[in-house]
Amino acid sequence: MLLSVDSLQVRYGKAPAIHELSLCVSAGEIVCLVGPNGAGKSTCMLAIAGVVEPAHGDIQFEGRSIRGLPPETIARAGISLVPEGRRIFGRLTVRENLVVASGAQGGVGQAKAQFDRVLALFPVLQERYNGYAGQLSGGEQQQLAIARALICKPKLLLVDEPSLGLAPLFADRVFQTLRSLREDGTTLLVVEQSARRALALADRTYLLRSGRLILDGPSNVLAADPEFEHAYFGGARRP
Amino acid sequence: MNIVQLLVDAASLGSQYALVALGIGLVFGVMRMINFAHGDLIMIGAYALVVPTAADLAAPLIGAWPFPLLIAGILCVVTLVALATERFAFRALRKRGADGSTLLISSFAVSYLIQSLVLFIHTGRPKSVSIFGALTQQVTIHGVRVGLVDIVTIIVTILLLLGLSLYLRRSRAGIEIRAAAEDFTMARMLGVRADRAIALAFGLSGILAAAVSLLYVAKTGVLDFRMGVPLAIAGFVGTVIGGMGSLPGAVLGGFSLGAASMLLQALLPAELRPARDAFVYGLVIVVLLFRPQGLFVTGNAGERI
Ligand SMILES: Nc1ncnc2c1ncn2[C@@H]1O[C@H](COP(=O)(O)OP(=O)(O)O)[C@@H](O)[C@H]1O
Ligand SMILES: [Mg+2]
Repeated sequence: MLLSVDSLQVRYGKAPAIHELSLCVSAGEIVCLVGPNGAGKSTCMLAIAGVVEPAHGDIQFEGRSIRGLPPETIARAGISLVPEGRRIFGRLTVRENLVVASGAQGGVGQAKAQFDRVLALFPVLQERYNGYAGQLSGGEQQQLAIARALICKPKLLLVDEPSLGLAPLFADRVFQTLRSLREDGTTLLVVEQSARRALALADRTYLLRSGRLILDGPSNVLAADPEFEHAYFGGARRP
Repeated sequence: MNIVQLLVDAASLGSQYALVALGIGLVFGVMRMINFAHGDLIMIGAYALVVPTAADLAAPLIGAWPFPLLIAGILCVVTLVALATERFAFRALRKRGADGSTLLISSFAVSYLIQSLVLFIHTGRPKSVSIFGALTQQVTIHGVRVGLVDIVTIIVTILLLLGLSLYLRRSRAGIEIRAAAEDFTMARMLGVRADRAIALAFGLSGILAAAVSLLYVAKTGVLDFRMGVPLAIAGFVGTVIGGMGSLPGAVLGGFSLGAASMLLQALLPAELRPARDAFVYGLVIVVLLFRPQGLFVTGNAGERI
């Protein structure tokens, strides 16, 4: 098991955003986390990335607990997060955005292969290489955010709502890219609001609502399960 | 007073304030802390020139070393003190999640601590020391006599700004600092080590503070354990005028403040001169009323998360 989250609870102040969540991701898989707004999906991603500290539970990566480690240590251990809202550095150039991520590899020189790879994957970044990242379009920024995470050479790539704010055509392209990343050997945990897209992408899918796990299973099974949609929109837990 | 002389004086004080504001701005960028103790780093750099003693006469210590060693010595002392304040005072607070105002208060504490130590060792009596004696000359350019130390201040400032700007744009560590100033958590999620980025910002601010120590003493020759306070205020106001979080803004803000106070000093009628600072800071308030985001910030570049 590459990643296993065990009885995770996360609170903001007193209010739990995640009550209790266990999930796992094996090497080579694409796993999706779906659920309505406020379900706790982003919180789960941030907890794995070390940005928010869990109140209870454990997070293990490659068999070792990463709970409580600082974000930079987790990034260097091989987990990269493409966060919700992309959070690119708008006042840095495209190139500089990538350079920031190269430290985990020991520098630009050592990360040369990663640079070549992401620039081949996202040719538009090559075109805008020395332009300010703040001037990219939403779709280009999303590509930059993924490219930047890939420079860290992650074993596990976490992607939070990559299609947010993108036109459907661009969203399709991003999902196509995520599929191609898996073929190159990257494991992915992806948060997606649209259940349809998630089920089409993932090997397995977890459905979260109000900070709790409602359903999970292989995507093709869930896609055929009439209860899935019901549960997504507020039905009870399956008996 | 000749207009060229006046402009040189204004640019000289403006340069000094620009360096102070930039030092404060660098640390604010990565840590969201206004480091009030920055002025006391400048003071430490000045006092390091003389033998630590309560005696009246200040015998030179580092101040007597040959010129390159003197500069290197002061740079080392101030940078080390800057790093020490980060390591032993601010880091622990930051790790406990202290917010900007807690950090500001703690920087006041560090500031008073440094001042008290110097007061204890050197007594509170102002001392005088002379370094770079050659700089006290006047030079004549096209028939106008200007202070060599002012010309040197302006040139040193330009060189430091160019060097720092190159470093922040070309080196990976510099790019990391700029990224951290924009979104610290995101930078960490990409593997940027928080402690290192912050220590580096403190180190760079120490280098700038040391430069101000030397330029200040070269011009005035006076040591006073409170000399850093007005400088820190000027630097802080400079970063605010320029727009918190923007380094070019801090430089321009600090420069404008210094230049404006020198110009007012010369242009105000003699009986109003003692109230110069009231005019300067009144002007600052007017500026901020009309541009609360700062003078030199465009768009949302000054917006913080
Ligand atoms: N920084 C925060 N401070 C306080 N509450 C938060 C914060 N972030 C998220 N929450 C709350 O936690 C819950 C889960 O949010 P989130 O993880 O963003 O859900 P999702 O990504 O599934 O939409 C929501 O109720 C949200 O209001
Ligand atoms: Mg979310």
